[in-house]
Amino acid sequence: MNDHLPEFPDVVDRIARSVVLPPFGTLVDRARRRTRRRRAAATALIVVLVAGTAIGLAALNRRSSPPEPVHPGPVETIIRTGTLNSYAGLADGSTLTIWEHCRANKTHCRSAWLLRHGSSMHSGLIKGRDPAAYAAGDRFVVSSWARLGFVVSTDGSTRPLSRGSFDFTPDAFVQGRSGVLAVDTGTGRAAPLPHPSNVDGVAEATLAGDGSVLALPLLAGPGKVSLARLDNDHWSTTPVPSGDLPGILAVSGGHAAALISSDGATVLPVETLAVSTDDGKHWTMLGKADVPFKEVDSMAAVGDVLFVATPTGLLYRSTGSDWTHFTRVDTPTVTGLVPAGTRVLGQLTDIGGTSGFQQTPTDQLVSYDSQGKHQLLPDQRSTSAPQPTDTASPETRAAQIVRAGKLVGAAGHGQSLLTTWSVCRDRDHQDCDFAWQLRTPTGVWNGRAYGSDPIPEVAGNDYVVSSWDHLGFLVDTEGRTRPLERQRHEAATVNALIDGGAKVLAVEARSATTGFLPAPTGHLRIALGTVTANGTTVASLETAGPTPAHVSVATLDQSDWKKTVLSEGNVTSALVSGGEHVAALASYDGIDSWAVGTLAVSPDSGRHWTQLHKADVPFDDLDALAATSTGVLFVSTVHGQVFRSTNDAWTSFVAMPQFRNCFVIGAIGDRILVQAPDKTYHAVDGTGHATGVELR
Amino acid sequence: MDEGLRELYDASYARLVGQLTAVTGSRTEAEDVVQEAFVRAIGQRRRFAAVDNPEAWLRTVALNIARSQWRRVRRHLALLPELLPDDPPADLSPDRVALLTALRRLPRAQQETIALHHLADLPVAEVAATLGVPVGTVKARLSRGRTALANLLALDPEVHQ
Repeated sequence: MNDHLPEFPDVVDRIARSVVLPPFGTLVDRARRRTRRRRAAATALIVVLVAGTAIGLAALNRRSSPPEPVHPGPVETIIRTGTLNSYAGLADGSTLTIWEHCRANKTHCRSAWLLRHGSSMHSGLIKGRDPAAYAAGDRFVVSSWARLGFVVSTDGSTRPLSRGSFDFTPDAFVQGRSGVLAVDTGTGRAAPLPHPSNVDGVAEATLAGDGSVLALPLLAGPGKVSLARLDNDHWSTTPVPSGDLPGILAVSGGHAAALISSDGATVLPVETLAVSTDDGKHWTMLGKADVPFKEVDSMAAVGDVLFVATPTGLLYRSTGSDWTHFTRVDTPTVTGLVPAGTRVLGQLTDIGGTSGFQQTPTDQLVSYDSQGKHQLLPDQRSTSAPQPTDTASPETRAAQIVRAGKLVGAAGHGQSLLTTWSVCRDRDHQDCDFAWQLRTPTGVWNGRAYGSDPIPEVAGNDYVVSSWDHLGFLVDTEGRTRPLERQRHEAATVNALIDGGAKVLAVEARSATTGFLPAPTGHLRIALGTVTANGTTVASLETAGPTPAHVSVATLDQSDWKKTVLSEGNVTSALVSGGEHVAALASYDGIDSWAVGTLAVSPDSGRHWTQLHKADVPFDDLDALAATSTGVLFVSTVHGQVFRSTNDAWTSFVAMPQFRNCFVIGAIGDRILVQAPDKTYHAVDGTGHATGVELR
Repeated sequence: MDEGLRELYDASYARLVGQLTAVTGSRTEAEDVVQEAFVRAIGQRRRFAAVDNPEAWLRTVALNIARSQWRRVRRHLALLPELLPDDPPADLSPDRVALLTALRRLPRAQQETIALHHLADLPVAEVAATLGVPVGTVKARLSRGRTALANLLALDPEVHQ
C-alpha cells in the first residue's frame, strides 16, 4: 500500500540548505541570563567547567589584560536605563551597584558600576561579561568572567587587580573565569585559590571568623561534595550525607552554613544544609526534612542570624544560636541576599518566581537587621540621573504594560475583574513583559506577572495568575499578592486547577500552596481540570503518551476518580465550569484540534454527563468555551461565530448573530467577556445582552 | 567539551531545524525549539557532556519543547492566532503538498513518527530513541499512519493492491 503514497518530499534538506545560523553567542547569552540568578552558587561550577573553552566566545578570547575602569562616557545612560545586576554593601552603609543595559534583543550588553558613599556618588564603566560586585572590609571588588577586575574604594578611586601567586592573606573571594580567585584588596593582588588534592576545583569560598578559608569543592564527575577548610596551608574536608552540587556558603563570626544541592537543577534544592558554630571545624548536617524551605535562592548571615531566601522570594531566619531552626520573616518577597556588615542586603522581587523559571527582581534594594526588620534602601540612582519611569517600580511598569498591552486573559467574580496583559518586543512573542490589573468598585491595582502568557483564574475568593511555565501567585480582592509555593502533598481544599506544563496543579488559596493533582492509575494523565461552584474537582483524562486513545471526563471523589469515557475524540481541547455546570470538548489530536469530537456537558458537577457530537450542535469546530456563574455556556468557533446555551442541560444552543468575527475570552462571573474585531470588549450576560466594558 | 558544543551547533543546527520543521510543520517554531534546545544544552553542559548522542539529545529536547508549545498554542489559540503552524512550502508539487497537508491531520504521535522517519530520514531505531518509545511502537505508528494517510488521500489500499 505504501507504494501508492506520493513520494515524501525532501523537506528537511531543502529547509536545512536555506537555514541561516543565528550567532551562537545569542544562545550563550540566553543561557547565561537564565542562570544569572544562580550566580552566587552555580556560576563557579560553570566557570570552572568551561574554562579554556569557546563558550566565553569573543570576550574570553580577547587579551586578558586587567580591566581598567573607564570614565565617563555612556555610564549615565547605562545606569539610567539599565537593570540592577549585582550589588554589595559595607558596614558603613556604602553600596556598590552594577547596572546592565542591553539592546532590545537582549544582546550587546554593557555594564556600569555606581558607588554610593554617604552623599557622594561615583560611577564607571565595566569591561567584561557578567560582572559582579563583592564587599571586602571597607572596599568593594568588581569582577567579571573575562576580566580580573578592580578594587573600588569608598572615595571612588579604583585599582586594577593584578594576578599573582597565592602567597598573601585574602580578604575577599571572587568568581573568576577559571574558578575562585582569592583577593587582597589592600594590595590589589589576586590569585587562584588552591584546592584540596582530591577535588577538581573550588566552587565557592569565604573567610571564616577565625581567618581560615571555608570552601565548597567542585567535582567534575558524579560524587558527593564535601566541605573543605583551609587553615595554615592545610586542607581538611568533611563529607556530607547527600547532594552533589556545591551551593552557597554563608558566615558570620564563628557561625557558618553551607548549602549542598543536587546537580542538574535550575534552582538549588536543599539536599544538605551544613551548619557550624566553630568556624567550620565541626558541622551539623541538616537534611531537606529538617528545614522549612525546599529550595534556596541565596543565604547570608548577620550577627548570629542566618537568613535564607527561596526562589519564590520567601525569607527565613534562624531562631537559635545553632542555626538549626528557622522561622518565616514577614517581609516583601526578596531574593539575592548578600552580607553587608551589620545588615543583609536583598533585592525586592516580583512575586511569582518559581522553580526552574524566570524570576524577576526589581531594582529596589532592601536591608535586614539581625532581628529581621527590613528597610527599603533609597533609590540607588536617585541623584545620579532622573528616575526612568519604566523602572520606577513594578507597579508603574505594570500600569504601562496594561495601558499599552494586548489582553492575555480575564477572570472575574463578584464585582471584581482581573485581567492580564502583554507587551512584546518581537513578533514571535519571545520577548514579552506581562502585567495584571485588578479592578474592583473600591480601587485599581496593577502588578507584574511572569511566565508565558499568564492566565488569571478564580481561586476561592482570590485570583490565581499563572502560566504553563510559571507557578504564579494569588491576588486577593484588595490587590494583595502571595506567591504560590509548591507543596509535595495534596491540598486539603482545591480552589483552582492551573496548567503546570505537563501536569495539572491544584491550588489551595488559603495556604497559597499548589501541588500536582494526582492522576488516577491505569496509564492515564490529567489533561485539563476545573473546580465547580460546589468545590468538586472535574478533570479530563487522556491515555498517557503522545497519542491519547480516548478521553474521559472524571470527578474526584476523595481520592477516587469516577470516569466517563467519551465516545469521540482523542484529546481534550477545553474544559470549563460555570456554577455546577461543566463542559468538556474532546477533539482530535493533530491539526484538527478544535473539531467537535465530543462535547460532554454535565449540569451537576460531573455526576451525570451528556455526550454531544457534531450532529447534535450547530457548530463544527470550537475556538473557546466559557460558562457564566449562572450556568450559561458560550461557544465561539474558529471563524468567530458565537453561540450560547438555551437550556439548563446545555444540550441546546442558539447562534448570536450580533457577534460576528468575535472571540470569547473567558468568564467574568455572571457574564462572559467577548472580544470584537475592533478590539473592543463586551460583557455578555446569560440572556445574550451585551454591554461594552473598559478593561483598563 | 564546549568547543565540541560549538562545533555541534555549526554542524547540526540547520539539519535539526529541517527535521523539526518536518515534525512541527512550522519553520519558525522549529527554529525556536532548536535554539531553545541548544540554550538548555549550554546551560546544562555538565549533563550534556555525558550524553552518548548529543544530536539525538538535542532533537529529543526540541521535540519535547515543541510538544509543550503545541499544547499551549491549542489552549490559547484564540489569543495568539499568529502561532498557528505555517503553510506547507509553496514550491512543492500538488501531490506532495496534499501529502504534507494530510500528514498534519494525523494524530500528533503518528505525525511525529512519519515526519522523523520519512521526512527526516531517521532510521526506525533513531526515531524510537528520539520519541522515547519502543521500536515496535514506531513500526506500528508508521504502519497506522501510512494507512491513515492513504485514506486521507483517498487511496484505497485494497483497490491499489
